[in-house]
Amino acid sequence: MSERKRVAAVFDGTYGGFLCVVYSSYYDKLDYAFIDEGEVEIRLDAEPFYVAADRGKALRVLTAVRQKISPQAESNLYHAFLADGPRREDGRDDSRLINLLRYIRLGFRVGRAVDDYTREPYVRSTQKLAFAAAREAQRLMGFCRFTLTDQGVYYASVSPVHNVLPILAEHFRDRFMNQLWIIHDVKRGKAAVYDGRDYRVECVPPQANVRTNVRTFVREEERFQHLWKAFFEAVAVEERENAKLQRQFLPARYRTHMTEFLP
Amino acid sequence: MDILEKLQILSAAAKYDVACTSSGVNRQGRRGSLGSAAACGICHSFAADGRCVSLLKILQTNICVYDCQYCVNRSSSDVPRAAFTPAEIAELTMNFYRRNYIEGLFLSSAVMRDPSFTMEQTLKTLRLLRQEYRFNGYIHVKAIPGADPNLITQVGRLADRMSVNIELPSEKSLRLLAPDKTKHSILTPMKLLTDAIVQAREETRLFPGAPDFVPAGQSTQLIVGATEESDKSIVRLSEGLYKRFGLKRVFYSAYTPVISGHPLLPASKPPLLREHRLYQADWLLRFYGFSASEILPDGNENLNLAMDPKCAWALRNPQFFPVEINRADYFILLRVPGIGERSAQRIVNARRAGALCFDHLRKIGVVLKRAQYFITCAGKTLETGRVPPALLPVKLTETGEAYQQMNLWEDGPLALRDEANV
Repeated sequence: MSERKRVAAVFDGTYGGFLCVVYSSYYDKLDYAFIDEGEVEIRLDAEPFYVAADRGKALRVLTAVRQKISPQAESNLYHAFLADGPRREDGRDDSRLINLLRYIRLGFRVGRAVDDYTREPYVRSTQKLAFAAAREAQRLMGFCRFTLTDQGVYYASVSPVHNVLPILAEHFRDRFMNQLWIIHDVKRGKAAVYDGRDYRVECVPPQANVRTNVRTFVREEERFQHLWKAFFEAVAVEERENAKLQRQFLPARYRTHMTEFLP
Repeated sequence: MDILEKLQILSAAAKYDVACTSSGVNRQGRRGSLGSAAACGICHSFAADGRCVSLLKILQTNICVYDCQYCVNRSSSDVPRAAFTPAEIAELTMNFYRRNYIEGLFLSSAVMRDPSFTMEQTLKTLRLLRQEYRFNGYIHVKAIPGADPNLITQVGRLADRMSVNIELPSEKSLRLLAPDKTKHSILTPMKLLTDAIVQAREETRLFPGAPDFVPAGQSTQLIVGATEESDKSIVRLSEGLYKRFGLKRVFYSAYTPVISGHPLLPASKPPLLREHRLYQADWLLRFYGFSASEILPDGNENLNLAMDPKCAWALRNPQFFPVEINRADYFILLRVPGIGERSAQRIVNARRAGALCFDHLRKIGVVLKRAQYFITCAGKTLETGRVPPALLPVKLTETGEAYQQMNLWEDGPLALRDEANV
């Protein structure tokens, strides 16, 4: 054990909260050894330091990242934050957040060249996680399927590896501006609900039987699902059948939510 | 006939058309209309053949007055016929789009009555979608050779991408198998589109808000293996199309036998590997700075099926190697077999922060399997990369599963790649 007790930053788990951890690492002059999301934590190996989320500080960090490092770094920061990284035995984040903090701190030192430092393991792992989350978001923009319910709401369920719900919600707020929709992350028990103007993310307890409630089909809905399945089958060329290639682009885990793969 | 039956007939009839990309145009959503477009394109599903499903790909009709021998919809073919009304297509597109099944519509057509009549049907459908239903998603349509230029221009104002299919890569083959088409009749609408696209681009540059014309550009498709053209004539043709007509994409479609016992057409399985090699050559043309004569110099009529065209080029040009990773510029790096755009970019970036060794290369994800024979790092060659030149062709020949099963087929991920700056 080192002489000085190490410090663990504890924040509220939000993006803004994390940006405040970055802020605090400079202004509180603390060299965080760990970053923990959530509430009180008892650690034997470090002293907790609670970082309160503050909109003003968060925005300052964000602007600084964009202007002093690069828009690419800002994007990496956001995507790696949403990514699901390696976890410890108790389920908490292992190295993702601390690597991300080091990445940003390096960025403030070397500027836009930060993404050239690929020989640094923490830069590589941050870039990798950011890429993985961005790719999954991109995939789900195509793969998520909406079902028209009898309340006139288009409902989609997803269970992504990374927490891409906010990215999806941004995308569909623009694309489906004029229809009501809900995107439900079943795995995390969260849903983005769009009311015709903007969306908000709500918690959906797992026992709430949203799926069956919401999925009351209207007749028209069944008809279009049927038509879509028919199209999907007809469009494949039998002579070129290639299940391996199909699996490569569309892994099995996505199919459980996709109309064309449901019985 | 109900809409389900029509959909089955007219999507099965359209499936041999390869293009299903939804890329090339960025358009935000608008109040009061439905949809947006993403420059990188979005794949919405993958069919059992592993091809991306991005657009609702259908024919307006498969009732055709032409009798092109290679085509499943030729007039002499005994297949069920159907025709969509514009309203039916609009309803399908809107409802599929609202459920996020698709990125938009790909509308092609057989030639019903005559080219202009057919084009008019397309125009009606597009007007309905864009003006009445306020559809703001992606639309790709075929221009029908021989249609009134005025109609084609009107369609171009409503579509994101248009294409004219070349189908067969020479005048001679056209005469043989598609007696109703000539090279001239195909190139005329292509030229028309090219000119209108260039003009509109100029206008929107000078007057922002001027009407767009086919903002995602023009593409075409040709059938490979139905006739006896060499790869060289195909690659040359593509090069010309990219350079002179400013095409965004040329698609290659391995001929799938749709007619048995035809004296002029092969009955064998589609030449998928050849198609794959042509796509690789196409990539070399568009992204890697190669010319057609470098890919296939005099004396080489066809691409080597056993290795990718860049490897073949490298073996013919040993004087170019080895390439020093720490000094070579981006386009030189791109010429190394096994180094693609992403790897080349990573190398260029990473070496700014200090000299690279082989270990670094591996760590930043550069695959050395093929590259090792052609590169040095700080003057050193990798141990396993020292191979007598005579053995190189053997080392670079693709064998085994990858080679046979063709899981590298390139057309799948194309909609995923960023085409915005192509």
